[in-house]
Amino acid sequence: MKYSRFLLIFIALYSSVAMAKPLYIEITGGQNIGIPIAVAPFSSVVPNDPIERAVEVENISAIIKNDLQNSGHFKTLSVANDANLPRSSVDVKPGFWKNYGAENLLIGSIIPKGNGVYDVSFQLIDIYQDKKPPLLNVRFHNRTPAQFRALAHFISDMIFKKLTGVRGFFSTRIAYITVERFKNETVHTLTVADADGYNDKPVVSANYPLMSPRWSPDGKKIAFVSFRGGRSSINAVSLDTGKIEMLTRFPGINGAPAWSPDGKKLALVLSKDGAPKLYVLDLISRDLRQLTSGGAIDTEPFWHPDGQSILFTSNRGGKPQIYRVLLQTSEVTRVTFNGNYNVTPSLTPDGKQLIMLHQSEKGAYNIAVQDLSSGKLKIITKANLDESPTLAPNGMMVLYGTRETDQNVLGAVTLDGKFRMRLPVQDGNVKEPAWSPFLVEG
Amino acid sequence: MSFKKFATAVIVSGVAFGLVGCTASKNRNASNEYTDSNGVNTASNFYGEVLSPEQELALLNQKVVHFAYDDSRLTQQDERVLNVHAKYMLDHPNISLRIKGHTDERGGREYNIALGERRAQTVGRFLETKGVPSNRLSEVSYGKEQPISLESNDAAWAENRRAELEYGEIG
Amino acid sequence: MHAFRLSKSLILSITLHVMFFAALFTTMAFEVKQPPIIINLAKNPGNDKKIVQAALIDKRAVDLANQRRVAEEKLQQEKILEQQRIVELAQQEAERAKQALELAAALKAQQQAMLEQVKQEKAKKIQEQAKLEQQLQMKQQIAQQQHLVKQQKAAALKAQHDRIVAEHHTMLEDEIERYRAEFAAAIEENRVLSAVFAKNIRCKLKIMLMPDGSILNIKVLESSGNVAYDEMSAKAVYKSAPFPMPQDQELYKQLREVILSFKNGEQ
Repeated sequence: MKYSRFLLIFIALYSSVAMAKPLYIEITGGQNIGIPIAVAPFSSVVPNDPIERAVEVENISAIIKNDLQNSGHFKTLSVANDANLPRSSVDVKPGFWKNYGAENLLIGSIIPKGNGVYDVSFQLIDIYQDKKPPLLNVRFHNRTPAQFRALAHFISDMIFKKLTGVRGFFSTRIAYITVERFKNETVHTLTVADADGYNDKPVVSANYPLMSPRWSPDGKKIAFVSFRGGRSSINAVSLDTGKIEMLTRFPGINGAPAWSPDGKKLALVLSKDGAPKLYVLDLISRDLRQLTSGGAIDTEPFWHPDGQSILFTSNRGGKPQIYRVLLQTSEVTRVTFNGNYNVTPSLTPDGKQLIMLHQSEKGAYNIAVQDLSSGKLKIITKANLDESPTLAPNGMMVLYGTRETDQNVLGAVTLDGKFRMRLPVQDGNVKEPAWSPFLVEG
Repeated sequence: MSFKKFATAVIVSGVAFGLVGCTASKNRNASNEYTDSNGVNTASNFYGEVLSPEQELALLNQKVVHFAYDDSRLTQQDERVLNVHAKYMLDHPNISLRIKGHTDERGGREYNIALGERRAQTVGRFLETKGVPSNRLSEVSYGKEQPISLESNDAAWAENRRAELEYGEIG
Repeated sequence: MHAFRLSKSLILSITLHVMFFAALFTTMAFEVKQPPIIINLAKNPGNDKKIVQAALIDKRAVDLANQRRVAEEKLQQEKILEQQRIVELAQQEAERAKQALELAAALKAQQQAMLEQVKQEKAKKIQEQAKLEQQLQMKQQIAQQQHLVKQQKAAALKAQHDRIVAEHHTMLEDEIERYRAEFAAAIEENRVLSAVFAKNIRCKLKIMLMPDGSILNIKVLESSGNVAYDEMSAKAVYKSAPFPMPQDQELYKQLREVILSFKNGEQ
């Protein structure tokens, strides 16, 4: 009798161990705070070197901190430049940084090599895996201070890619038009700057309006509309040389240039034959093909990334909405059905989401995003007079024009609308931003 | 009546009318006003109303017509103004006219270019119906690129929705 | 139980049989052991003295007489001896016969006895068999009963065990649920969500926990396709350690291996 009882208990025990399945937990929530990263000022090796004391040393880490913070996806934490600053990953005390709320830590140094060149190195450390080597450990050789800004943006890209898996846009550029009103004239300037708004350079300046800047896919040219001589024309300026080439100057409207994804064609709007219609200009042969017809307004073309169709604004249905025309067949279908006013279309790089200017029921003009598979529309800006959305090449951020205290300024917002900021470009009226493609670093 | 008689009547009245017409144009060339051989002011034949010289000048000095929101139609007052300009152009064959269409600041920039063109075209077509030859007219749209008022309110917007007339010389 | 008893009686009967057959064998196969012949010379004790007194007479006659006497004595002795012998022989014969008879009788008796015994044994055995069978039957019955009782007992035990296990299981389940909720809450509090990732992104991690709640290891079971997302999910786990763990070993065993499925939930 005793045996059987023991046997039973033994079996029970054994089975309870053998059958212990893993605990299954679904994690769906979390904190929408941005990825926490502490950005420490880059240290200098020679404290007495006047260059080291200069702003440049702070600037690299400050630029990186701004880039990451303004992307809307990071929560950057400042770090004091004191004796406790770790010099290398071995100096890092995880307990301290964990308490501080950092999950990642960026430290770096600038080492003078003489003759005005420096080695810049940095380490990105995961505080919670401090036993492992740093996530990033890079050294750049022989850089001049003039290159520090671009280098900082490059480092921001590396950090962004490492921590999100997505390519960063910090090394891209933006173009925009500034309007300065003087007593006797108004000066319009096509300007190019870093994606953070700094480091701006004028490209074309005129006392007649300039409009609709658009980057070529290789980042080397910008197409734009000019009102030189009291008429509109489409032109392209080479950023290397500053040379301007006129592309069209037909009677009537010459407007809304849009480069094809392969850079070989330009979609544009002409009204030479009546109402404003879409045309495609072959940049090599200079052939002009009319794409849409009819008496309505067709304008604001945007190429689908696959190069097979073009989205555009049209009031052929009575009110301005967004349509798509297939290049092969010229077949036109309507895309937007929410509200009575949808204009200025652009697409995310995966072609799945449509960004536009939308008039809400309240009458405000806002940037909106429509999911093309579900048709759902989401308004992502909150002011009243927004316009001209342009998308970052990684599809993560929208730059747009907006009004603030009777001035035209630029705003930036993440695609989900959760993070918004004002882009600190120059004073004065700034409008019509255009985001460059990813630029190949020279 | 016989056919012969009828034909004679037609020819005679046709010649008479022709002579009257010649006399009338002769008179128009001689002065700025439409007067017939009796000296009666017939400018109202062009305008459809009677305008004093002062009124005419005032209307001529008005070089902007305004539009309602999302609209490119001319009001009656606009037409009064444009009538005067049409006559002015007919009276001065060496003058060309540039019509500039504008919109208020709301909405897409290039879409507003198209709307501005509509307004310029409306003015241009109207002037053409008044006899102004199209080769002396040019139209351009600035959309919302050249506002008069930089504020953001209904008054500013109403002011910015306009077509402007800019005279130039031919040749 | 049956086999056990049987083997004992079998051994016993075999042993007895062997002994008896051995006895039979030994008593029948060999020659009857003769009792040793004892010549009791003490019957004629005077012989020695006579021979010593007749020493110095006509030597030859005496010798002859002596010789004759000796021879006669010898003869007589021989005759006596012979008679004795014959008598003894006869006696022996008689003895022998007697013995033989006795033996035979004894043997017969023995045989009878043996037969009897065998008979008895047989009877006894039959009786015993019957008894055994009866006993066996009874045993079987008892055993059956006992078996039934045992079954019932076992069933009752099992039922009780099951109940206990079920109760325990429920208690265990409740406890596990509690810990599951605590783990999830801790991880979600430490987890950073980011709009950088697609809404439908997901990954699965497997973590092994030590009894003190610290992490033994984390393994990516199913990657989201974006290493950074997998790493961020793992980081949320690292940040949440040490996890609250029970003292109870059994409960710990249910909690030490955790599979986490990370989703973006509602954003």
